[in-house]
Amino acid sequence: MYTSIEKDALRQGDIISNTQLLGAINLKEISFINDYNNKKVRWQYNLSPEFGYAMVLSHSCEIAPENGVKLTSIILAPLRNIDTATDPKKIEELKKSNILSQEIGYSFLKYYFLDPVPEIEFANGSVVDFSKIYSLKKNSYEEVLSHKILQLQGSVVENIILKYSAYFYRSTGLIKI
Amino acid sequence: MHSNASLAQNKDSSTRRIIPFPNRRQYSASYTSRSTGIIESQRYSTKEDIEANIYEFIINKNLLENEKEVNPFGSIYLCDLKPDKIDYSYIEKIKIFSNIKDISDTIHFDDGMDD
Repeated sequence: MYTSIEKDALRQGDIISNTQLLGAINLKEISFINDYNNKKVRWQYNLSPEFGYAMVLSHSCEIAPENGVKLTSIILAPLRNIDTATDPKKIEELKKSNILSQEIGYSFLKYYFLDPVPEIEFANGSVVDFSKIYSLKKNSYEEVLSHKILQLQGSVVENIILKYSAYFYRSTGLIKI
Repeated sequence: MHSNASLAQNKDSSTRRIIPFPNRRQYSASYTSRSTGIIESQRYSTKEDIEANIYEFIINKNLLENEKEVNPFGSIYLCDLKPDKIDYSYIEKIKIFSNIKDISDTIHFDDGMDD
């Protein structure tokens, strides 16, 4: 699943450790600082920052330094500890769903299971959660790169991105399970 | 050399008037006009004026002077995007799975992130 690390570049599928995990903004949690004219001049979020593992989902080509990092942002998604799953019986099923299959006809589309590895402290593996993607400005490139700990094999990245694409491409409408 | 505040304080000590805290505009004025401005403005000062000036000064000094910070929600320049051509076979591959049932909601993670 993992391959040797290119230390001078970010690639799609790279695992980043100890990075600040960002997410959807909750407008109710924002407090504003107003100036004397009651104009909002600053805002702050009154919650502790969370740090953890994340995976780079941007296309390698679009964040390649040799291409001038074409995108303005780097897309990432957090990793989650498989041991915190509320229904452990489903974990084996989730692992198998890494490879999409028409025959099976269903999948845990928003997750991709990653084998346990010493570099990640989740003893029994983790999942990347596509539903919690976020982005960082491209001028964060060096900072993100400095936290790169793992690089995935090309074939694995292909499977991850196929699942990632299917997660967004799936038919619209509510499907009853 | 006197600071603005001490100069104003000395000139004012005989009259016992309240000195308004110098705001940003006064700092940007010349030494002479600034002093005159402070003395002139003190005639109309109230407690509210002083508090307002102090508040504005603190806000300007501590916050507005950092305007060079990068806006986290700055524009995304779509014109910079030069996407590669997507091979039709890739689209076909994804379309095969467009009707697959997503059962992601049957599992949750108790790790503090909202699900």
